Amino acid sequence: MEWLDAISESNAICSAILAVIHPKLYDAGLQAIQRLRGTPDVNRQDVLRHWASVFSGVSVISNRRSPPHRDSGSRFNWYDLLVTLGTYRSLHLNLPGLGISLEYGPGTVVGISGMVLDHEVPEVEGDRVCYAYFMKDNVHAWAEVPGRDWMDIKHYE
Amino acid sequence: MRWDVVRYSDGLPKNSPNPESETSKKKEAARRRRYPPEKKTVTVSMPCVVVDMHGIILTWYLPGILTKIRQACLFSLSDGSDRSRKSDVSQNAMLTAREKLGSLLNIPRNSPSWRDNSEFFHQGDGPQGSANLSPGWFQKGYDVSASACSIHFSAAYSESENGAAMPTGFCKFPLASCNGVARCHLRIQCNM
Repeated sequence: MEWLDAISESNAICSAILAVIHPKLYDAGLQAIQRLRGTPDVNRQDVLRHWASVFSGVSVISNRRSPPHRDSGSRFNWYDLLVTLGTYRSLHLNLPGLGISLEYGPGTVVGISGMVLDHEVPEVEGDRVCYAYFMKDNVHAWAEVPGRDWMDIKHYE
Repeated sequence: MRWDVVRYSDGLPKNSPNPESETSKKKEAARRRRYPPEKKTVTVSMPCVVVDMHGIILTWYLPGILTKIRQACLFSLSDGSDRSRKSDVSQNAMLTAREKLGSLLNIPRNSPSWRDNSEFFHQGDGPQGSANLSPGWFQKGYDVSASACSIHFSAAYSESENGAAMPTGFCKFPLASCNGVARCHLRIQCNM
């Protein structure tokens, strides 16, 4: 619980970022969490009361490089939210399937279709931790929350 | 991107295979022949989105956004304090939170996943390892982790009125058994 409380504000900020970059996914995540909290046998869990996020979960990855890969367990039209932090200086998040390399300094947040785009993070000198927020397809399927929309740039026109 | 992401994703597996396997590499090479990337890698440092040929957004790139959010928040306080130092408070909170995970951030030895492969972890001032927390992962309470080294925060249970075994507390787990990656798949409704 102490750990959950320590990251609760950051969880909320990342949820707010999602509300901007993929509002329908935010709504779907919120509905799923509300469904969990509204289920009698589930809402007894203190964990949910301390989970200030619309995401299904988070992976905390400390000092690891990642080969080019895609993630699973989500949906193609959803985003993972990657937050990179630390004391390192120079690093790139590479998208080799696109031929794009994103400068990936501390404090950077990337919303990415992690099941669609292969992505890679090389080794870096210094200390680095990545918070990777994700939504799980099976949680949303259980909650009967559709979430089938892709994020279209026309939304912002 | 000059291609259609919906068509592109139709050819992708729902469960990602080991990216290091020869089969995966061959399939990826074939995919790139059909959907070629930029000939020369484009390096990006300014905020941007990556869209497909129809305008579907696949990536939002927000460099340094956490710091800016915190700066905006602190500016609104107008307390005259050292804002440049405090602007990293959110980052620091997340780094501090990592420290609270402590011994759970370990690297398992026998996990089949590349994510747990010690070769991918490197030296840093902080710990090496990863931990997963998913409060709403599996309603039915069965374990989705294939790692033999997994531990679960839901190790402690109490009997609920209907006989379902329920986790009693987030912190009631045997730290002594933390010899693997901490897959904190919180079971929230078990044995129903």
